[in-house]
Amino acid sequence: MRILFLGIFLFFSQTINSNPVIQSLGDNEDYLYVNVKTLPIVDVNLSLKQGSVSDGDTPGLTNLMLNVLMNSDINGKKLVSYFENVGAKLSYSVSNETLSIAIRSVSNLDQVMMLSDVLNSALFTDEIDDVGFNLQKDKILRAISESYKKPDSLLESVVSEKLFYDTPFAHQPVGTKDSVINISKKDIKAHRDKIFNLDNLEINIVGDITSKESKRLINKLTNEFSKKEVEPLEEYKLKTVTHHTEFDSTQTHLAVIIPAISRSDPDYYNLLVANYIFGGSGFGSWLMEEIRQKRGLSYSVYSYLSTYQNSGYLRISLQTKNESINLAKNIIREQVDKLSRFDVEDAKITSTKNAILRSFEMRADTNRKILNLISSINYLNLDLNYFENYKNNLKQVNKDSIKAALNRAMDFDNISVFTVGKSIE
Amino acid sequence: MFRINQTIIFLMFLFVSINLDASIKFSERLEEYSLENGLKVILIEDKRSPAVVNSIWYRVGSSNEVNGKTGISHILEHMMFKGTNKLGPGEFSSIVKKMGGTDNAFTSKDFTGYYQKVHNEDLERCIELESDRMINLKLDDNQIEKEINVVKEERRLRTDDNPVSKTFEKIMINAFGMNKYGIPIIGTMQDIEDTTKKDLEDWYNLYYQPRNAIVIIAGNFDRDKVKQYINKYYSSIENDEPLNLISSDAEYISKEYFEVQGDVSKPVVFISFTKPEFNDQDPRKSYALDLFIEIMDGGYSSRLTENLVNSKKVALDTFISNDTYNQHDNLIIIGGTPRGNTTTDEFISHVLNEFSDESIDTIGQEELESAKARIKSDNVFKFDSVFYQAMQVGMLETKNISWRNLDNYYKISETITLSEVMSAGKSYITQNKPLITVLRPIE
Repeated sequence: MRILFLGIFLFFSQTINSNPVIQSLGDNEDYLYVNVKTLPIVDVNLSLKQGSVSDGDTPGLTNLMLNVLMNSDINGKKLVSYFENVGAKLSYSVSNETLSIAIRSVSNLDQVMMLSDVLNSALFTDEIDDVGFNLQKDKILRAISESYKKPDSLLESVVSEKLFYDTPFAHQPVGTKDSVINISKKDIKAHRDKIFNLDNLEINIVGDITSKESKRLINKLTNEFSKKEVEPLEEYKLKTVTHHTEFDSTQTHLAVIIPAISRSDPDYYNLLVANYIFGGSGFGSWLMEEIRQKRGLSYSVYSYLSTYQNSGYLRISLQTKNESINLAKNIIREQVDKLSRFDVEDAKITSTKNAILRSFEMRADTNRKILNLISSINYLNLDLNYFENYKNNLKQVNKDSIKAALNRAMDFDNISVFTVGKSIE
Repeated sequence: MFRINQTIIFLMFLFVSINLDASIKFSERLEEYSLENGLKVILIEDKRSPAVVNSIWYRVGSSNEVNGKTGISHILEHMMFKGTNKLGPGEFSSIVKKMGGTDNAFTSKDFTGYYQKVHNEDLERCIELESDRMINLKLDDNQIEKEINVVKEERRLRTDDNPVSKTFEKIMINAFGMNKYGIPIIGTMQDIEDTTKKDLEDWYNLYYQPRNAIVIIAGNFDRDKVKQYINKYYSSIENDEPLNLISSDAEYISKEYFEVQGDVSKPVVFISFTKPEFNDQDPRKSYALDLFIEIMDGGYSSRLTENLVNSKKVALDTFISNDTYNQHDNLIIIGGTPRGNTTTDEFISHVLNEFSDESIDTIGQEELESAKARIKSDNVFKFDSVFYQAMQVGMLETKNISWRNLDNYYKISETITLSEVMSAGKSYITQNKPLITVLRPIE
């Protein structure tokens, strides 16, 4: 009762510093922590730097493994029951590069410790029953089938397959039917033993919990993990592809990919500003003006920088009725040319930088967003002084630095174009 | 292998019951008042960051529309960004963007809402801009034509190329016709195309008036200053003639069973039950129904998942859709995807069996306590987002349901008994005739 009362009192009397103070716990840079007492909530995120890229020759293995483990029975009860019975949340996902598990609970240390205990039991269980295993397989196989029935998700599969051909990124985390159907329980256990590695593990904690309590929590969460040698991700180069997939839909979905940079590249801040003006900021961006505002061609058009550990690209996305796709592609081409020239007034760059800096002050306004931020900082090995560095780096950006960065870091000669929709004669 | 620490489990139940006794309340952070012109103002303080959400909510949505003019509330929402007597098209959003803020809008069956999330130093300007478009909207034929094309693309994206959304749309029309909640928010393609400048002007003049609006500001602000701003920019706006709400009365015949074909890999089943409007004076039964639904399908350890997915293996997934605070007759829709060789008829029979009197009578106190624990925690979690706080209050107030119900919800739910939960389940679902729809893969 005392702890919760304190939390509520602080809710009204304390204002979060615009920049959350990030601490590493126990001098371990893989365990980050932000103390936020304004709400009686604790958020914990466990992240393994091994996503579907660790699937090897078995696309979907990591995803099926996580789903099977997270649906384990612990002492005759489903893992999720332990969470739901006390009103806590358990979520999990697999992306290309990471496997992530998140706990959200009211701030009750005993409860959080208990949930961590059952979570650990599930992650390292030796008892994988056939019923649960087959159910997760059936669910995933259905999800794969459904993904081929939707133009947007089909587009994602095609982009991965063609753009990352012959690399561990070539398949979606969910895998392929042929692969998932043949995965056995033995494969799951072997894969778990291979990738559940202390050296791959990052833990992020945000909320109404002390650093001492967080350390205890980390000890509990990590005590089953062993240390193994980490295999570095392979270097790879994006392919250049133009590809259309015929699909019976009223709209064609388009993805244009321009090879760019990894997140740690020093040109990141220059491209951030350039993309904001180009298509990364909704209304007022070049893409939104030309495609939606001037011509009413699409409901949604945008661009974003997708940055991985070893690579990255700028991606443009839209969807328009099948009859309009060629017009939309031509406009995108013109706008990409304009981006490569970047004849933008200094005043526009200054106002863009100011807007980004101002939005940055509001970026960490919820516990959930702080957790997501420190998870990214942790994953990308960014400095704990991230917030100050971000501002300082952004302030250095000017027209010349952006032009130089676009010239240096963006490969405008190798643009890939993908479409999924119905061809109109 | 069993590793869990039994002592911790014991402590867990002990501590949770103490810890969650306390809850966070809107009443501790919220102030409401009205201006003389009838504009309602709600201020929600949350000083965790410098951000503040300025929002305005109009009591008009698709349920106010009529057959032949569907989707007009949503098109008007789009046009509200196309300029006023003082601002050019898109200028509103550009100003907010330069502040480093974000802005957007949304249309539902009961309301149309607009918001900006900005630094608190920029709040006054946002209030000024929002008040400007309440009275000075400029509707230009050329802009309308382009925006109608955008809305048609939105309909293609969200509905026409999405078999499940399309089926939901058909179910609502089947149940209510082109009346109230039967009307699709985005409108029919034909009605979107036929919308004229005059239609939009009439809709704007009829509904965008101070007495039909609620300003909700949530986040970090100076209360006295905000009141001054609101007074400065809104108090001089007068209402036009009294609201003469349009009523819709389209005829329709509801089918008890129909099938739809779509590009899906497996059939999806929808079993719908009509549900009367929320009664503000006696919310207990609605909240008992919420607990019943939570027990049936509120989580992955709930009854439908446990019985149909895990034990009987007849379903791949299940869902229940229900709006606690419906202003008009609505549907509770229960559904899911049959697994393996289970036919849709067998699936329907299994689902309905879960809602039989005999099955409902087996609900235990432990299941009820688990559902209540989730409601208690959600009552804390929902305060993490400032925008969501404004959203929750706005979604009720636009239906003329007091925000106080948000605080009472948790308090009343705590006292609801097992027998009330069972009785709600039986009276809303078991004793009603279902409307059944099957979405089948294209042959």
